[in-house]
Amino acid sequence: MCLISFKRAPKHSTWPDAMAAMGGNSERFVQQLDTTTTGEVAVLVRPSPDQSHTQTKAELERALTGMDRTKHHFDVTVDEVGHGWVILKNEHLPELAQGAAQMGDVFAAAGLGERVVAAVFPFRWHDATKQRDQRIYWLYQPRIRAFTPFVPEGDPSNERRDHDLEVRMEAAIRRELPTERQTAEWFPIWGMPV
Amino acid sequence: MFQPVQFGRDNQLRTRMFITMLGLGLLYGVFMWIAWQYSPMYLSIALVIVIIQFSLSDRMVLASMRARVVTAYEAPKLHKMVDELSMKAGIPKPKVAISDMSTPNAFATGRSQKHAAVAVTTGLLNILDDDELEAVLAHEISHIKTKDVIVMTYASFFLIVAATLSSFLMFSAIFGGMGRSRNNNAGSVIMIALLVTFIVRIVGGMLVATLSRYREFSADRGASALTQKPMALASALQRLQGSMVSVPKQDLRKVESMNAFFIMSAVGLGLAELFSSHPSTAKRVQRLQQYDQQMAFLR
Repeated sequence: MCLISFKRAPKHSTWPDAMAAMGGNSERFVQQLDTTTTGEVAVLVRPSPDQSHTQTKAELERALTGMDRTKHHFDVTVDEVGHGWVILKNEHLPELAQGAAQMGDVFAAAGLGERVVAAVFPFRWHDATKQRDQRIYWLYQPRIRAFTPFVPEGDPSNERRDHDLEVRMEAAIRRELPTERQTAEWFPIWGMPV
Repeated sequence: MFQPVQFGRDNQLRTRMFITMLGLGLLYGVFMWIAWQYSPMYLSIALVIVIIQFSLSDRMVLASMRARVVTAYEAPKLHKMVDELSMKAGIPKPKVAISDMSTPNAFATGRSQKHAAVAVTTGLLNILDDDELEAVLAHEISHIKTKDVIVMTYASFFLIVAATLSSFLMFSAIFGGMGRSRNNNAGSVIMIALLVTFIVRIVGGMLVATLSRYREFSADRGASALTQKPMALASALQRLQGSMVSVPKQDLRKVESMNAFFIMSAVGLGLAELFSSHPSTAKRVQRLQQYDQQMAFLR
């Protein structure tokens, strides 16, 4: 038995592996990091060129007939820039992650795999020094096959982020979760519906 | 009884420093021997000039940075931090100076712990919060504690000697051979001597820079031990570097739509890094994150 664990998460993971890593670390998120899931995960899909908002929505709905509706509750919305959001709801992180993994399969089968931009996992974290609840995000980006942290600060229209907290988040979970260390890849998503 | 904070040992870092210093020692030894064989007179003159330069430069550092020593009345917060940190580090309290420059930076000077000074620029005071300022001061104080100014002075001493010698040689190559040596050999001997000083300057410069980078890591480590807040230093470093630039502002949705034109920038160990006296901020932050993790275990 070692005092310190030497295990290290692989730097890059495929969609199913990454979702499994997220689900497998639910205990750590709650107990060590004091963060709890908001009970949602969102899968963000880019529209194909010249596609209207309603077409994107219909296309996603069609693809999602492959999902087990009795097991997962989800909604499809389209944001103002035309991107589709499939928002899955469940109180437990492992089930959210499992649902997101299945959704990856479903989109890949429908030929939309290339257009999946991110899986977004929102968390709540109580900031004891500022005495307020902070919403923090882990984004899995298939493009780089890794998770990146994102903490918007204040009004999203100001486009400000708490980078210090993001650095701490990444350091705290990098052994367990495949995270991207190059901060140049830590892209934000402003004004998310989750 | 009061115990100064122990910095703990990083054996890997110590080994690397030792090897680098050994390399420098060897290089300088060989260089001095060759220079002595070539011309004891040139070597002696160069040595005298550099020794004079060095003894003066110590006093000139603060002046050249436009730094002014401030009293506890003028800068109470700064003095209080330096007070506490130097006590924790177990060194005499250094002088505190403020340099009136808008570029954020900090430095430590002094040929010994007793004559040391820490200086910060007004630009630094403007952009850092208290925790970050304390972390930066702790970094400079660990430079003083581990006598880095002296080590680096010695390490670069012979480098300056080599530079001075090579300017002599250039001079004598141009105007040389007057009266004394009229044989055909003189030209090629000077060329070889120039080549030797050139090699010493390149290799020596690289080794000195390497040593300096190791000492920066070690001062970061020392600062973490003093403040117990490695992330405060990480955040200060990133702020100094303006690293907010390296965190993208552009929305991920926009990035993804121009994926086809996305070209990964080639990042590698550039030549510049070999001669750079400080490690990259990314590397320093990465180590500080590790210290933070290690400390989390002890908390």
